[in-house]
Amino acid sequence: MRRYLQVLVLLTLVAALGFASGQEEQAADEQDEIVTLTYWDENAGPDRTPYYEELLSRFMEEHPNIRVEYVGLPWSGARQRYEVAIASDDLPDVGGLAEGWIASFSQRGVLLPLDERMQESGLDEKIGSVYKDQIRNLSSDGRLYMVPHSANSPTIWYRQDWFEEAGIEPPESYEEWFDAVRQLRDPDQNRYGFSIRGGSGGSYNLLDLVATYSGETEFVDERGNSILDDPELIDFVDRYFALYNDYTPEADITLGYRGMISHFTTGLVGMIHHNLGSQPSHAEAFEEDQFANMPLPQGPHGGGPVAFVSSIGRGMFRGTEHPEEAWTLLRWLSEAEAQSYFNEQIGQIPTHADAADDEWVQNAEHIQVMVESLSHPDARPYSRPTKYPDWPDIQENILSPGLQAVMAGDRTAEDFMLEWHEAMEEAHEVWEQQQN
Amino acid sequence: MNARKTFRTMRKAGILSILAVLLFFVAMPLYYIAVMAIRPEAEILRQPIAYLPSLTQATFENFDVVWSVMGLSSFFRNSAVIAGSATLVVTIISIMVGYALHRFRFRSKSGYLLVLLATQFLPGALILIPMYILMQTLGLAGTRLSVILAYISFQLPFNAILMRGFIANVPIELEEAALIDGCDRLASIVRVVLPLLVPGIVAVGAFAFVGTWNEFLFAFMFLADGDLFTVPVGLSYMLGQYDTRFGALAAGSLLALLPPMLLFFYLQKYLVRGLSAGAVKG
Repeated sequence: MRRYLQVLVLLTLVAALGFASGQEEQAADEQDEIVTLTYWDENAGPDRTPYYEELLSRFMEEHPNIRVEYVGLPWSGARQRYEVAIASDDLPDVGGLAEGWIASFSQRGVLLPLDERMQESGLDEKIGSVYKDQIRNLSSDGRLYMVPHSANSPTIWYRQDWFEEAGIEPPESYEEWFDAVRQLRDPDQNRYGFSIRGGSGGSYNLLDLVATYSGETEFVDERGNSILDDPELIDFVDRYFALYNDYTPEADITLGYRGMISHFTTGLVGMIHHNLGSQPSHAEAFEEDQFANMPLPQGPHGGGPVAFVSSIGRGMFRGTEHPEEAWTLLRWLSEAEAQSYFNEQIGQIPTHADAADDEWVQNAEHIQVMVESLSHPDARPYSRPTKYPDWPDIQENILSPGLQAVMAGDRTAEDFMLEWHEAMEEAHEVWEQQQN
Repeated sequence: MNARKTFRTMRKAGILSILAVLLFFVAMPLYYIAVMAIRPEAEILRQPIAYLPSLTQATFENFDVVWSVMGLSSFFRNSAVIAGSATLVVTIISIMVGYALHRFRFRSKSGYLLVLLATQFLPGALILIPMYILMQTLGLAGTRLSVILAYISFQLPFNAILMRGFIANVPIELEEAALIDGCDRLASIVRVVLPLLVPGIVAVGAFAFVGTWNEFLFAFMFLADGDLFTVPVGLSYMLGQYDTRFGALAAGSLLALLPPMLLFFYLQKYLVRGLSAGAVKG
């Protein structure tokens, strides 16, 4: 009996201690109420992480009740890391997103819609509608799942000094552009006019070409007809790839981003088709007056300039236990001050109207070139067909091998374009069925 | 006689030239990494590619950047702790499993061996998500221990099978003699089997260490805190969307190669002995 009593007393003591410590914890929580959020940076590295750390420390100083844990993901593995987090339901509160992920993430209900919060906070009026429309267009239900903070646009980087030597003006039409590519070719100096991106990412350049030449903003119209079987367009694509190996380097057939940049920065080619993101690499390689950028040339369509505008941004994830604090962080990072600071460091266009007026933006020539072109009264942004569920398949199995086969001379441009045309009409049909 | 000699010389020349071609493919990337590591960052992508290093331009800046600025020193420490712990555990358990597999008779032993072998056919990416969920449930996600446990589970089956082969080469009569002399089973293993098993232990340890030192996917998925990153994870941050630090990456890769290389230099004699042991069985 005595032994039972001893056990009972011991158990009571343990329970009392546990209760007391629980009470203490609760009291501490109530006193401090520090909320910890996790933030994932989708493109971390030595060129971005220090600026994020600076921004987050400023945020925490202003919001002493919120602690932010920064997790940097390298670009090469970020999507995979998100996929694992989705599968294991271990997502961050707030995280950086690429536009191309929106369709898939929104369809799976991974992100929280932000439309209402944006409107209530007044941020909606400040963020450029061209970027928001693009994101809404990509989402499965037309809602806004990402607040864009940095915008980007395809551009032609060119050697200003070579153009001056040859007496060429930056071309506005594709006919002028073809002439410039031919004129810049100089076998004695081992100079080529242009570099065609035949390897990874080459299909996006092809989308830019098709849209800017045809003047169309959709690849498949509402009735389900693709624009890709137009004989004039096919002829243009044929002439473009015919430049390969005569006016562009032989290595182009497998050329990815890094190879293309190195062709340009090492003085092998006079022009490349990339976007504003590579500006720091060119600035490092050249003197200020040696290089410049221009909008993509336009075809004979007669309408206003067609361009692609993309953005990167941040979203809030399902399962966040602190949606209010998460929104506070997301909003703070999207406001003019934080956007201006961050974009100045990474050389991209702020999406916030007030930040876009900042002095550094006005003085950044490469940004002004694109802002001017995009603010043309008749400028029309075109949509990439990334909303189609079959798009990754088309890109991987038709576009990438197809454009290489045309470059190698194994297929005609017509054969390739017609295959792509059929695949796009089928993809549109599948998408439409899903929408219904 | 002369004809035979010529034939031998020709044969030797033939073999050497095939080996030279193979060596070229193995050594060329390593050579070029070394050249890039001592070249200034701005010069690395210059066309046409210069395959020979320029001694006037040689710089150790890339090593400094990767070691101090990018924090490779802390990645090294983490890799050493993770790979070292996993290797130690894998080696010890491999001896136990290998011993049991060879010396004991038990039901469905061949089935068990088959299961061990079958685990080697599963690609890591396939079990990534289940493993992550498992670690999360155990409250281990984001810790070094999660990576160590994952590595142990990957390395163990192959190394246990390997160890079984080494144990087969230790004559059972020696153990029986020890048992007669008064040792129990554990003492006979420790005093008689282990000293003869050194080449096997070295081989298993080396395989486990190299496998865990170089592993990227699981370390990348399981660890979130930059202070815990291993060398391959840390180096991956030098590949940005628009910017890659090739010089620092090459310098980091070269430094990352050093521990396994030094290990192999030191252990080579054991390894050759270990791998050929049992080739001729009396």
